[in-house]
Amino acid sequence: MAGPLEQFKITPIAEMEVAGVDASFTNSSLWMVIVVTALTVFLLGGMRRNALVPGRWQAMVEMAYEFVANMVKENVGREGKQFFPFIFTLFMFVLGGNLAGMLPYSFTFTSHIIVTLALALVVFVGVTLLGIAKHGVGFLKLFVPSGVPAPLYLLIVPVEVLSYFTRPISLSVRLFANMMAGHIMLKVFAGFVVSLGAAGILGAGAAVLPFAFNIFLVGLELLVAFLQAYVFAILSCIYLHDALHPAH
Amino acid sequence: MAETHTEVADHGQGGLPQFDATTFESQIVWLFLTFIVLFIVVSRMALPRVTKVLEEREERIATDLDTAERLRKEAEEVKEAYEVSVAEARKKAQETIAAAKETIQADIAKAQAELDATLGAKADEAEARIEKARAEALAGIGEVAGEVAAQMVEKLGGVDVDVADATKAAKAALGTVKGA
Repeated sequence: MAGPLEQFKITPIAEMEVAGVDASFTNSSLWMVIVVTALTVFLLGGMRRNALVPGRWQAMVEMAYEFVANMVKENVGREGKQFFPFIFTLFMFVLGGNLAGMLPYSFTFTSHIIVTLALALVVFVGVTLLGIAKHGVGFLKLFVPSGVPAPLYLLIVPVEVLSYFTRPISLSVRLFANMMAGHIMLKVFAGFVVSLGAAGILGAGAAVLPFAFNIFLVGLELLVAFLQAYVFAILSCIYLHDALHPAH
Repeated sequence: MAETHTEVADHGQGGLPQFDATTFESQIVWLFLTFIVLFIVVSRMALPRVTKVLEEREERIATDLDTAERLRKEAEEVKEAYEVSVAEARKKAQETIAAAKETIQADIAKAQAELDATLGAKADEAEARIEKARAEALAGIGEVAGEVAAQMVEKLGGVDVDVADATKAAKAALGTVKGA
């Protein structure tokens, strides 16, 4: 039986190398392609009729649109509109990856630190460049909150700088750790069911407990899948807001 | 757990697969590839369609609300016009009724006055006639009395009395009666 970490193993399906870069098509890549394809079908399929009065499918697409649109409007403001497609893509991509991970035999690409870190760095670098482009030196006001007694700046400025530069780490580790922990738990309790079931009639009776717990865990993980995608997107919005309005 | 350790050891990595740096490159390559594809689908195809539908719906609702508001105003105007015309009609009707009442009352008064005049004239005439008849009767009564007296005297006393004398006497007697 595979161990609880086995599910995170990257296995190449087709070895590839493009311009000296390893671009092997792996199980991770496969699930990225599956998720993007499924999201494309979901989004374009829902809007295939552009009905004035939406059906169920179209209503779901519109709901996703309005959910992210409101998130951007409330956390970034009016200027956030131009970043809406990016935030929407980010949210749907992470949500798709998290949810696809709940399918049996699937691979959860959002449970890999390199994937979440790359996404977080795109957000971090993009936001930082945007802030500098918009405000120049004024962007440094972000580290100097107003309305604080002067001596406290000695303490506050380093804290602000530190918290700013740990953003990509906290953003990526939060998602990766949540996804990994959840999937390990699922696997461990599923392992209990199998081992207990193999240990005779008494064990089979006892196996009901981890099985029931696993059912609860699946529900919890579905919630976490949505919640972490939401947190990832909303934090990106908040960082965007900081870049647009550094003087807080 | 022992099983886990052997499994991981079997693959010779002795740690989380997440920290196997040899897989990073291909993961990043495919992440950016798929993410960019999704971004293009979202920003070029999906979102503009949703935006268009939502805008059209908002526009439609706004138009419908405008139409409703316009129709409501029109209805209010019609109602006001109706109320004005009803009030006017009522006023006109009351005026007509008042005028008719006045005319009728004037007619009645006139008729009453005419009737009164006629009746008064008739009563006066009748009175005059009665007075005249009475006078005539009173005038004739002396002669009749004279004649009656003459005949009574002739029949009773066998004395032939001149009627003229008898009349004169009767009239004289009546005159005293009258005087009394």
